[in-house]
Amino acid sequence: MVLSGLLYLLQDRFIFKPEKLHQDFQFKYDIPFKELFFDVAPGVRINGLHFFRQAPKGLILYFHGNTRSIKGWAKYAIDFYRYDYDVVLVDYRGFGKSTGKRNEKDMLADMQFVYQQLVTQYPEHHILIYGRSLGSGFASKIASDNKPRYLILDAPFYNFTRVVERFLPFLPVKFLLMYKLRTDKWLRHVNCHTYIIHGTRDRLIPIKHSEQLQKINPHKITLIRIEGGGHNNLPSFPEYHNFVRDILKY
Amino acid sequence: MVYGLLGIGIYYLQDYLFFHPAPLRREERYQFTEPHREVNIAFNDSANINIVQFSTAAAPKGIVLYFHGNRKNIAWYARYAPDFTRNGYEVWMIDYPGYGKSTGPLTEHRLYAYAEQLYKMAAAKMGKDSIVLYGKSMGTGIAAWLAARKNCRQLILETPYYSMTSLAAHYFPIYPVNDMIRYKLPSYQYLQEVIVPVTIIHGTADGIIPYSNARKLLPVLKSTDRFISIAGGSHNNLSEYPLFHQTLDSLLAK
Repeated sequence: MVLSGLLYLLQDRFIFKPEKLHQDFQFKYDIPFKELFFDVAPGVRINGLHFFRQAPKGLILYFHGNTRSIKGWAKYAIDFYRYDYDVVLVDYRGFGKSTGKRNEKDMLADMQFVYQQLVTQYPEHHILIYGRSLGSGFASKIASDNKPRYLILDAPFYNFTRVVERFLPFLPVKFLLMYKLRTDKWLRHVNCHTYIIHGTRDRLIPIKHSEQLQKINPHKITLIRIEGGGHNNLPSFPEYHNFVRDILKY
Repeated sequence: MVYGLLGIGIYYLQDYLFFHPAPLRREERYQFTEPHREVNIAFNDSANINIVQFSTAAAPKGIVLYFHGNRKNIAWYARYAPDFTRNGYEVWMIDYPGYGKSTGPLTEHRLYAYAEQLYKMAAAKMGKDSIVLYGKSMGTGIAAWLAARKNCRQLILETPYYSMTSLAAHYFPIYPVNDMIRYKLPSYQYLQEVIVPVTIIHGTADGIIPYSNARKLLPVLKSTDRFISIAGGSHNNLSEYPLFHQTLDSLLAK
């Protein structure tokens, strides 16, 4: 009972591990970029980074995991940038320079706002949505409501409730959790091809989640297993880069 | 007038500007103190590829294919063999056409073709993920070409260039080097294709291949690749820096 109460009150703290950045913080990277600001609502400002090429083949919209901020996540931009793709990363509310109070509905709306801004700059069939870990939920939702080229899910969950239930099997997680992130529900409405990449030794979100996601629509969802891959180390496997290259060099 | 004459000079003398081979007679014997084996393979009826395989005391962890710089021949670069053999790797050095005992026309195509032969030999002896590709200076473009096409464990580039053309443009800024230089060696294109880990080691005071030229490769490196800058290091003295050896040792420890 007490535990349930604690989980309910402190869930935001357990789920999100943001790194806050001062508004004056200067980002610094070796490749050309600019900062983006999306004024979603009064008091809600979403901050992003836009890595750009001179003649991009398309755009990767990258939704990061539940930790830190785009400052550090930006290092993964290069894995797509090297194939002549622009990359946009955004911080969720309360992460980095982004402001606003967190809740699932508004966070999803923020991301849809970002997507709509980007659609004015890129042909939609050249936009790929990439969601990593927690970001896979946001990515699936945005892909289900729009028409991007591909959806790529990196170490995703079947739905967020299942992730938490695995760690707290003795609590009525379903009722306590304010974040559901129903990837399993949204994927049914995704019209583009979806690629899922998952390590076989992921201990945080077992590959079983992805196997079950794949079964939702076997013809439109491809699961790529990285043998021996964990939750946080897929880019250190050549197979990961092979996968990215195969998708981007169409 | 002067521009034209110089341009013609660059065009006809480009081989002399870029390549400084020292041929050896077939009968000459290498005087290496390190245990080694010399191998000659016939590329075709008239061209020979000369390879020296430096071996390890115990069973090797793998093979390093070493693509050397533009000077002399294997005998000059043999001094670097212990960097690899003491880490448990055999190191196989190859001479380019016209270098040492290797013969044949010196063209970009031949550089790649010889490299591929070397790779095939190594792949016949050991698993592909035990093969490390190593390029030094001019050899970096060849190693990158190979890594873009063949499986290997990792690629290590010591003092690389963005492309041979970009390097020529640095030396002859007012010439249309793109059309003049027969050797392109576009490492930046090849690196885009490489999926195995890449490590670049470059000195910040390199007077031959400017540090800035190598830094232009950053946009084609992966998130997990590494660019090791050796503060104050120049083109031919990186092995005098502890950081150089620490880097090599840790890369070859795995």
